[in-house]
Amino acid sequence: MLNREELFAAIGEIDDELVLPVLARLEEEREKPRLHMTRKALRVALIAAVMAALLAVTAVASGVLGLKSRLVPAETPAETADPRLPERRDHISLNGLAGSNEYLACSEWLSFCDYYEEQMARECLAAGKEAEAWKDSFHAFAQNQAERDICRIYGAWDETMFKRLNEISQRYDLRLLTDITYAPSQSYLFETTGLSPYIRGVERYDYDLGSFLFEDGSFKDESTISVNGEQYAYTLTCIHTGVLYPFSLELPTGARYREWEHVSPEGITLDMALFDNEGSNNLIIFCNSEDMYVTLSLRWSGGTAEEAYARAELLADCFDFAVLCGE
Amino acid sequence: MDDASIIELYWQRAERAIAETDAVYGRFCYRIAHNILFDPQDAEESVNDTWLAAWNAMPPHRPSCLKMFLAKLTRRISVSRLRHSTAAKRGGGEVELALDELAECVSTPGGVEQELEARELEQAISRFVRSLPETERTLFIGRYWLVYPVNELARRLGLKPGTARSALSRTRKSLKEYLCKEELC
Repeated sequence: MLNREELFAAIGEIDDELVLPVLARLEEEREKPRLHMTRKALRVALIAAVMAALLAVTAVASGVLGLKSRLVPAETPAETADPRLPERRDHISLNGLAGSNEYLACSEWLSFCDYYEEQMARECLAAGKEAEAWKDSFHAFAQNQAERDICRIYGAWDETMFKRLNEISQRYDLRLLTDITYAPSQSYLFETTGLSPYIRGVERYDYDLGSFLFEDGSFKDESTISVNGEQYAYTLTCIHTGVLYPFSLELPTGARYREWEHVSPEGITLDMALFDNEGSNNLIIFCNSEDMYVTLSLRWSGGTAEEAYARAELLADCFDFAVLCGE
Repeated sequence: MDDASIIELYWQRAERAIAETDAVYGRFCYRIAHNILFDPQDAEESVNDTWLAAWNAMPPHRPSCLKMFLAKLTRRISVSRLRHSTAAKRGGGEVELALDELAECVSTPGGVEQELEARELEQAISRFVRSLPETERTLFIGRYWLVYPVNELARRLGLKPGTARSALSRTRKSLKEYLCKEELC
């Protein structure tokens, strides 16, 4: 008779042809942009962008270019939303403030993805197919490997999406990223980007191999630090301007948050946003120089609101933002 | 370096084969091992054991898909390491949750006694997985082959976690019925 361990082992021996497409798909989905914004939401965002641009003149001096100026709101899902269709969430633009070419191009591209992917999914479902049957995971429509790499990075699943991607990047005068490399170690990340170590005062640092970088030096570092006996998972992105960045940061759903400014030991003003969702804390820190946008997200559970506030500033000071901003 | 070149290095018995494999597939194999073992050190050792196993297998073996070959080696080695680790060490990992879920599909805590029966089981599961619709198949393999946490799997596939859980539950029920029908449960 069969036991669960044997069943688990047997599943590991199923035919390769069944596993390979799943491996390919999950790896692609891992870095697929997950921002979904409809045209209506885009209009709201564009109005917000104009307002933010008007405010920006004074905001630079007062350092209030925080979460709101990076926010890309999602449209409220319809009550009759089909569970087979992707869930919509608010996102944060990672390399431009509202009104900038980077923010607008990112918003427009992701808005198009939302509209187009949903339309295609609905057509497939209506025809009795899987919602994602229209997607060409192998990008056979691409003319060469370079185009396939771009499609893979940006989640362009057919020729229409690829053409639109190119059109948006050209209109906003932004480059498309073409080469993503997974960093096997933090030292590799430092060597490749030319950065000095930027974490300090922690008891332990665990690099979790979820980090990657692009050909322009933009990178994401996903790791864990231990401070005062507690572990904190973090996601750090340092993204250059001048490119249409394919990814964004999802905001916690339905969470309350407070914003404030914190000055780092190097004298850099950080915009802090602390989300509290039923005892689960999510801290997001923003700062930027002329050509680099830094976004750091840390997560932990438990503690009172005041403890979370104090802990947020302690954690912020574990990162050298002068190094990250290239100052 | 492409797969054919890496395989050629193994066939030439060039030690650089290991470094090249690690550079291309190190992170990928580590993720599989870590999902199963839930321990960075154990996962790293499993990946090192995978490189050794690959070194011993090539030649004479020449895999048609190096990535899949390494993934399978990593999974087997990680499962074996898990079996040899103490039972007390278990409990925190994603694999324990996955095993608990799979327990729904078996009737007794006994074991497969004959190798023939194990082969039959593997073939039966392949047939079952092949019969699943694409999304269910992706969820099943993602959960029980790659041992992704359900929430992460759902996020990557653009599904709500509850939807993914329901689909997996339905698939497990179908698997149990299928295995019983095949007199394998």
